[in-house]
Amino acid sequence: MIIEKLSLYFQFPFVRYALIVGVLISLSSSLLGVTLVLKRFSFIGDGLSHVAFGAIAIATILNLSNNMLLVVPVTVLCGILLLATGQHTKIKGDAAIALLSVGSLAIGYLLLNLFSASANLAGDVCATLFGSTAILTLTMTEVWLCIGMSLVVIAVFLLFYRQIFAVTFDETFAKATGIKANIYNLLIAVVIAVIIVLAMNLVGSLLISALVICPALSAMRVFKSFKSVTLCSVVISVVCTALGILIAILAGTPVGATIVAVDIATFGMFSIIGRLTGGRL
Amino acid sequence: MKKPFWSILVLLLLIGLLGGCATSESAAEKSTAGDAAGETVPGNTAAGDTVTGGTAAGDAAAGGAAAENQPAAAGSAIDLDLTQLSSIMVYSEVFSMMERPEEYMDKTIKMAGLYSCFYDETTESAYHFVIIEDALACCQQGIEFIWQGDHAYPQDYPEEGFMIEVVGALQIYEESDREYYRLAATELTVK
Repeated sequence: MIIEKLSLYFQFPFVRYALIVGVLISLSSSLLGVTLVLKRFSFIGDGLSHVAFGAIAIATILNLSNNMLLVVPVTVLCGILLLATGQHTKIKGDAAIALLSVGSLAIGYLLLNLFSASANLAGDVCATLFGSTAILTLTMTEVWLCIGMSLVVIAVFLLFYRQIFAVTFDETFAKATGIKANIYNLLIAVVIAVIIVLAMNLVGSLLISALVICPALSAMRVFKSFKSVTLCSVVISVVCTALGILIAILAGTPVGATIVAVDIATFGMFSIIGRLTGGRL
Repeated sequence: MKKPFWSILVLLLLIGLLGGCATSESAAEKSTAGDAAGETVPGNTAAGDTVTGGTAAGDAAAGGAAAENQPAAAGSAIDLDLTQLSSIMVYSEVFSMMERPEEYMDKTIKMAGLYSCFYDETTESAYHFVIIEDALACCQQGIEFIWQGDHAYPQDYPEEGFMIEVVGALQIYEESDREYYRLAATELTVK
């Protein structure tokens, strides 16, 4: 019965695109997820997507024909401010993210309420935050865009794996060994900001945070080395996203929330496995 | 090491910006299509419509990418049966219909949703819609339909908000020099 349903649904092109794009986004985000979790920036996905939401609100009010011209630079700038300069500011880490996150969200929603001409403001906001069907309503341009961006992110991660590894664990030591830590922090900030902006348009704010944090945390329950955690995180992320999308289309549930639920269940399962194995893998 | 690094960084920023542009354009397209449907743009149900692509519902639709790609109910004249899909699939497919209506032209479609009506007092015309909600019920897609045959409004129509099922072919028509899409329904059932 389920197989029959799935084979019926896979005849729809948008289901195939959703699966491809969801898998690629989850793969890209999980690569940087481990770094963000270890650098104590787990909440940055949420923070930056809220910044992007605020920027979208301003762009909408200004009637910009292309609102991404404002959204991408603003989000990248905030990503740099949070990640690349995080340790040298008066407001540090989680406090800075919280401030930017709630500030952007509140101001964005306030401005939309005051100035937006949209007929369905609540719907627009809801769709942006939760991305209930966004991944199932992709255009071919968006599909190709995601494929391209994912390949770039994977290439950057593979090219600079050693430097990212060094900067993640000990910035001071990395600097002492001649690695330009600030530049690599900047690189991480730019990449994560771009991923978040693109992924927000596709899957909503809620899913981005889950994609970044959950797979990395699950992998850390069982594995200990950076390499094994990263590889496991990628596998978990891809499998959970694919499973979440399939469950969502079968059960008719919101895609983003379903993927998060699968991620949380996987975290619980890996926690048990970690207990049983003593996390010695 | 420095030069390749900066090259990649610049490349990333450019791709990000270009990507943003492309995403925005498609988002704008979506918004337009979604709004057009969600706001239930009135069409003209009065006689004298110029139906340019319409055929009587029930005609066997021939060829087309949509026909090849979309599942049809086996052994029936219905090309696309949306009542067999989960709610999120229905919403996404209706979105696709709004995005690329040309791919669905003259296909016999069966769909269920909430009945909605807009009565334009200036033209004294009623416009009827099937409303499909997304999984979070925050977004809606509406498809206009015209119930073919001798049916008077409001006597023969259900009350607003009732769940209805309609079967008909998608067609294009003109009103005030603008083109609109609607389902030429041959069947309407209150569920």
